[in-house]
Amino acid sequence: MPAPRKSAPEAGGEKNVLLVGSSHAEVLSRAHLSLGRKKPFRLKTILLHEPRYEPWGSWVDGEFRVSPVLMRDIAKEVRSKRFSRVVMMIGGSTHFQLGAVNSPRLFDFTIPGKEELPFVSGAESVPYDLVRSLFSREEEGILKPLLRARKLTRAVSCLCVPPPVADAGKVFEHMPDEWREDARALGVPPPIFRYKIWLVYTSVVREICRKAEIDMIDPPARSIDENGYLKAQYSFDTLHGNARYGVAVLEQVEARIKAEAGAA
Amino acid sequence: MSEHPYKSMPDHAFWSRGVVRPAFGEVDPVVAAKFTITRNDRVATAGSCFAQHIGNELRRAGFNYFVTEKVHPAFEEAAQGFNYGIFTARYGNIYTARQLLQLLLRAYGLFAPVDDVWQDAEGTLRDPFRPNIQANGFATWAEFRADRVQHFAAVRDAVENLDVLAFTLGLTEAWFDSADGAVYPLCPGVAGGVFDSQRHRSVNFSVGEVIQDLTSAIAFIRERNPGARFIITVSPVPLIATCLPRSVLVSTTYSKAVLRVAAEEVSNGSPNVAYFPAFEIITGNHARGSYFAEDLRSVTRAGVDHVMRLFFRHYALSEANSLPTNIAEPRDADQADADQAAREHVRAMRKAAEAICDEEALEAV
Repeated sequence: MPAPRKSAPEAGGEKNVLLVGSSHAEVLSRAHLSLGRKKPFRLKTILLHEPRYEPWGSWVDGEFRVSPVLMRDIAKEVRSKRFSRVVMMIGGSTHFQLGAVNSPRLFDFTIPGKEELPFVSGAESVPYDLVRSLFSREEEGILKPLLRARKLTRAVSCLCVPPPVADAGKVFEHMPDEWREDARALGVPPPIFRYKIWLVYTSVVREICRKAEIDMIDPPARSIDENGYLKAQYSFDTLHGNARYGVAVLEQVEARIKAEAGAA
Repeated sequence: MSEHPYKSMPDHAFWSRGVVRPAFGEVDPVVAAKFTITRNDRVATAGSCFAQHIGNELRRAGFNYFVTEKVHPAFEEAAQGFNYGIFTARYGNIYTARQLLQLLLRAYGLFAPVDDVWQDAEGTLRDPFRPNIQANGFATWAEFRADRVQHFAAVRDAVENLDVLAFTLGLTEAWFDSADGAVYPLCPGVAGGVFDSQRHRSVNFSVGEVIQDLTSAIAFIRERNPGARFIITVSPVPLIATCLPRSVLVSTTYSKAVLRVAAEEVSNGSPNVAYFPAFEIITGNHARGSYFAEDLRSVTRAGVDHVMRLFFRHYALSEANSLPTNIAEPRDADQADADQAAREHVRAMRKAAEAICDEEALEAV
């Protein structure tokens, strides 16, 4: 059985980070490689889409089941005590499913504390708690590896996925081919709708992290424009940040490690 | 021996032959239905909690359970507790005939209660007339207002397009706002709101009042939907509490007696208003109380099955039973198509999104 890939950190190293995640984590991993000798820490990455974990998670009879091989690998690495911090960037697509193409039954919602955000004209009103309920159900399953790691160590951070880009054209350009027909017929939602979906999604993840006492790291401030969208120069497609975004996140992780070391 | 009317009476007219002799699960007090229901008929439901069973069973049996306020297909898996589809529209339990009548008036803008919304110290908003419709209430004023508009539209849709309304009378006791007579489903303070002894009053409706309210509600619907038919039932579920200074058992007996008489009076003489004896099926001596669960209130699965077995035996048109269940009127077909399109849209989005997240084609990053 092949071992988890990427550069193996030295045992006992103070600046070794274990990164767990899917496509977003791969962005970080590649950004880390791009830094060459300027790497702020050593990084070991466990990618969920590696064949040995296939499928890394699936819904069975209403329960989200995670690959036992993946859980074992995470536990083994965390218990090795070679890492000063475990960072995870798992999931991060549920909001995209709802927000990239208009539904045949247009819907929208209002967010408490952000009632000023516009409502899609003519859309059906869906209860805010119902939107949260959908994300909670999904994320409580998807974030199981994160919660498992937290049981083994306090030094766990959840990396927030990037906010959406404002440019609807870019959304259309980068969406999967299977969505294009619907997108042509139904349209791409206005950016504010995608932003609202992302806000609720991240608030659910934040709540799960808060309950589990997991540190959550927000998207880098410099990657976000004045309206909350991901700046074009930090985006890869409609869902992922690019290498520049990855580097900014790695800097945040480094700052967290330094702050923790300083506090200790 | 001389002839007399009882000599020619059928078995169901005799206690020994109609109630004692049959196996208790076979006792059939329905005898004959006033009209029948086809699988295409849009059957709406409203009433106390017992009425929830009717909608569930209609759906399960392939009948056209008419739901005008559906959850958005993108959220179907997460909608438990949001009370979609429990009744035809998201009005929650309607315990009294007065509550039904006032709901109709409110939906058509003919009554606007003064006490229109409850807001607690944390800012949570509740609808006084369906306080449990969402466990945590409404998150924002905009959501509350928009949901109210949608809800009333769904009620009007039901009124104007239903073929049959199955309404279950539940209670005679209620609380109302002395400012304008608005009747609440629950006493203010129980599931939201603040009880004000100066403002909130209790009432125990008389048989005359229930008859008047039920007759008015039926007339209101008929004005907008002349072909509407009605099946009235009385909930067999006892009161959970009485606000009168007497035993809840005595209050339950009064309440059920009044509702039973009102149902009889309203249905008598009208070919399109039927009384269905769910109350008798559950509470009758033949069952020896076995159709009640341990709490002596909840109706058991066997009890519900007995009720629905007789409902389908008498009210379901036998020829229609053999029709495929996917036959629907054009309006329902259009609605079903739209919902299905939205559902397929969600599935397609999910499938492709999984591919996105698992893909390793981020080489350009």
